[in-house]
Amino acid sequence: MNLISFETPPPLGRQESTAATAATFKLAKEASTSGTCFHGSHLDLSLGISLSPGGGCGCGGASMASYNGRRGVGDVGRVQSSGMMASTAIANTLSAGHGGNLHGIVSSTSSSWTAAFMPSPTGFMHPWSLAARQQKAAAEQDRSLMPAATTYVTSDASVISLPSAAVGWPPVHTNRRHIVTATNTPKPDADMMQPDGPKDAKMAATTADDEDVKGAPRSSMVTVEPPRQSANMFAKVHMDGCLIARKINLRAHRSYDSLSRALTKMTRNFFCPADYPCSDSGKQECANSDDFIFLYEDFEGDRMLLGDVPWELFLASAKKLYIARHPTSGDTKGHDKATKLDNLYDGYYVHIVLGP
Amino acid sequence: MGRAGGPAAPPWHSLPDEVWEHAFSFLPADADRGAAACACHGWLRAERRSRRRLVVPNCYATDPRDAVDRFPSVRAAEVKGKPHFADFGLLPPSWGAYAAPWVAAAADGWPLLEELSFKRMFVTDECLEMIASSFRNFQVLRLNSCEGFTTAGLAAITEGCRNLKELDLQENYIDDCSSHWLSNFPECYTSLEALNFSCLHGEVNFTVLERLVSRCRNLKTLKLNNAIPLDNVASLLRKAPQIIELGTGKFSADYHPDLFAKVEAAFAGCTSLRRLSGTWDAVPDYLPAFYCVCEGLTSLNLSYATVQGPELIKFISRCKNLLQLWVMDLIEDHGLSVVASSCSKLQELRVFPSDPFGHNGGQVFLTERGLVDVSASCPKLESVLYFCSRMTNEALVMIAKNRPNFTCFRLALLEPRSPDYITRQPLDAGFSAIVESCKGLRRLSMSGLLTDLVFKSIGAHADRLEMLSLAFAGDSDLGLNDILSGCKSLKKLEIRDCPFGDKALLANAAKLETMRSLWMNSCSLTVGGCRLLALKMPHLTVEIINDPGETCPVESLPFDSPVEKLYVYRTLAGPRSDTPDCVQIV
Repeated sequence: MNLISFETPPPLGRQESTAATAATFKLAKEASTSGTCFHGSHLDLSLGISLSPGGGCGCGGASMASYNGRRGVGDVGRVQSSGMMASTAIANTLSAGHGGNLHGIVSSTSSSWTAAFMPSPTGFMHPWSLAARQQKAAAEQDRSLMPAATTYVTSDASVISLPSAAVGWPPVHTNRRHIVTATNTPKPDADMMQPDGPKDAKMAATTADDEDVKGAPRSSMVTVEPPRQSANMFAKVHMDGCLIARKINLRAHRSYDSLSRALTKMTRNFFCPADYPCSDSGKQECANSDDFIFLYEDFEGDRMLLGDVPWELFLASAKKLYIARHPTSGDTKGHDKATKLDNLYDGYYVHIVLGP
Repeated sequence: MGRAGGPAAPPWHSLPDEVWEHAFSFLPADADRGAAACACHGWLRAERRSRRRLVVPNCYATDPRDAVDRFPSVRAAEVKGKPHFADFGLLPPSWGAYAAPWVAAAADGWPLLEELSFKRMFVTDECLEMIASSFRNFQVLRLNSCEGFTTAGLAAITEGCRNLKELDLQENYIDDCSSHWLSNFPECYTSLEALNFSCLHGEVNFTVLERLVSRCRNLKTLKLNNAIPLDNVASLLRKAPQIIELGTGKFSADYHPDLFAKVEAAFAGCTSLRRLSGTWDAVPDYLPAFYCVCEGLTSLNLSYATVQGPELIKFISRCKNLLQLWVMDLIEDHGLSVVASSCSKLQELRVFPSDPFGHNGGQVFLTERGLVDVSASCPKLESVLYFCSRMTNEALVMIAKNRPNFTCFRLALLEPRSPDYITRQPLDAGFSAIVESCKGLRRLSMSGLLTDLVFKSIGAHADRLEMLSLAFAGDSDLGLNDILSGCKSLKKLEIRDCPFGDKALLANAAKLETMRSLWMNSCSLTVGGCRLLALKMPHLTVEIINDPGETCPVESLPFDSPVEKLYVYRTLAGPRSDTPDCVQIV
């Protein structure tokens, strides 16, 4: 399992994981042996090249994608806490992996895609031809070598995502690379990512006019979530008795405490926008209301009580949040799931139980 | 065989060739015919003279003239060129796979040729012109993932092939020279049965197309390109209600009830429609226009359709007789569970990533759950291609238990080396379960975090496996060794970014000659190892492929110099002579 990006510089938006990954990599490096590595003499040299930002390792085909590229910091935290055993095992895998992949880097350091231009044999280079696309990938690569100071998606035109760090991965046919979903610019020839796209989407999400799941608007817009690489992770919040839902940025909170506080604030006035100064802000210090419990729905569709799993794991698995009225007038902790089920009839649950 | 009574029957080995030719016509597979031809000279003679269909899976495995000499009566030929990973941009553009020598040899030796198919080859306009002028009964041209030609070449075909029945252009890169290739079909020409120009980007003259479609009453397959608006698609369908396979053009427009009614009425007339594809940019508003044909559909290719949501799911759930479904991951787990319960006859499922490189940053909720559901509920499911972001061993084990009848299982986890996302373990157990359970597995692509353990299982159990694709997997040479020393039926092996070195290759060099080809890129190979391999196995061509910028001659490189890309294949023709500078044959 590779935890660092050999593709340097790491694609924009993955910057936040570099620090954590570098730490983990150091651990791996210390634990690694060169037993299975055939070319130990190249190891340091290669590592030196690959770790330096702006190094010439282009899309040479040897780069290993950053494992954390799509998952964010949460996963790294999880790996590090899984204990020395796992880390060593991972490190050993890593060391073997190193031997395999570094040679490609050594051999391809000098030949970036900019040197890869090959005019088509007919002399005429069609914009859709393979050579043109490679040239375009090279141009994008060069553009994205500019270091990004922020992981947030801004409207700065320099935020253009690289194609995947490993050339030809995921294994989709080259003519599928120009497909754009509804949130992207409709023109297939345009640059890969509309810089304004995710930002607009984020704004649309926070206003949350009629964001009810069932009554999706007629357009084929994706349920908008900001880019995975950024520090935003908006989840819908449904409240008992309200048809209209809210959205809350899970990544803006560092722990269950702050999340509970935010949710409690919502219970007081559900339709008060998040950044609106509420009149009852003084009541924030109050304990969580005893009338509500906070639940979340995970990827499997089950509703779970907030607070059982570590924060990072929760971030990775939570899809939606629910604010429900407390089934009994007691404390919010310690009631079992059965009671919860009795009170919260969930069509999803029935579907899963009676499923194929 | 007896001698009692009448004239003695001739001994079987002196039966006239025609008898054997007739007998061989019942052999279903070319491999069987090839085996028969090895039996004796008589059978060799009979078989090769009567062979009508020839498939050359590697254009460099033999000289085209030798192939034409050996099989002089071929009517249909299919030639494939570049290795599979060329589809993902891993091969330099000038690598080779030129169709010209094949066309020239065919023009010389197969004047009665009727069908020609090229896949992943470099086809020029001159090739197309030669095809148009060399075969008087030429009927079928199929070009798949080819490049190098323009619409001018197509114009030569449409003008010159008077008996053309099928022109199938699939996923090619065609330069548009604004040539009126479609207009070149003569006015008297009516024999068209299949036309696929979905990969062309330019406009076509719609009036000409409409007239063509009107007069070709046998037209069964029509796949339009993106330049044909919805309105015109409807008009065409009215002219060709007998159509069986349709690739819609751009299936989107602003919603207008009149247009919708027109489209719906057009589809209502197509009672024979069985296969539907295209639908780029389809908008949900128009999906209900398909409802009247849903019951009859056996194949649905929505892999380019970016539509999603409840309308998509409703549409697919009406296609109760689907055998083949290609869709984007926008369908999500929920959609797949609906597919599982509605499409019980499903045999093939392919789910493509809508955002493979993370540009949108949007989360698509397609997980292992969808595949588990479909494999649980579709008893005939045997072929799967699945792109998703996470997987567990438990899910794979469940899939393996539910569907031991898989023949093709391809799982692509978007992030390399993703482990089981719950247990954080490698996915060895899951994939081992798949190969152990699916005894008939012929094609396997693996991804995720994998150690050498899984290769032990594969080598031991995957007896029928013919094609294996690996990426970012394994720990050491032991993995590759297990594969090459096991896997009795292995024909194609393609590997990228795995820590495999020369040792396993050299130890199993003989195996490579029983295989069609081996591709390795970004592994731990050295120049010296490749040279040794080439020395050891003279019937193999060992190609070292560098990045196009690097042309350092292999001879000057030290023994342990790394090899970035390696392509090894068996050949009767010796090393090819059309390599570009970046390719060196050791």
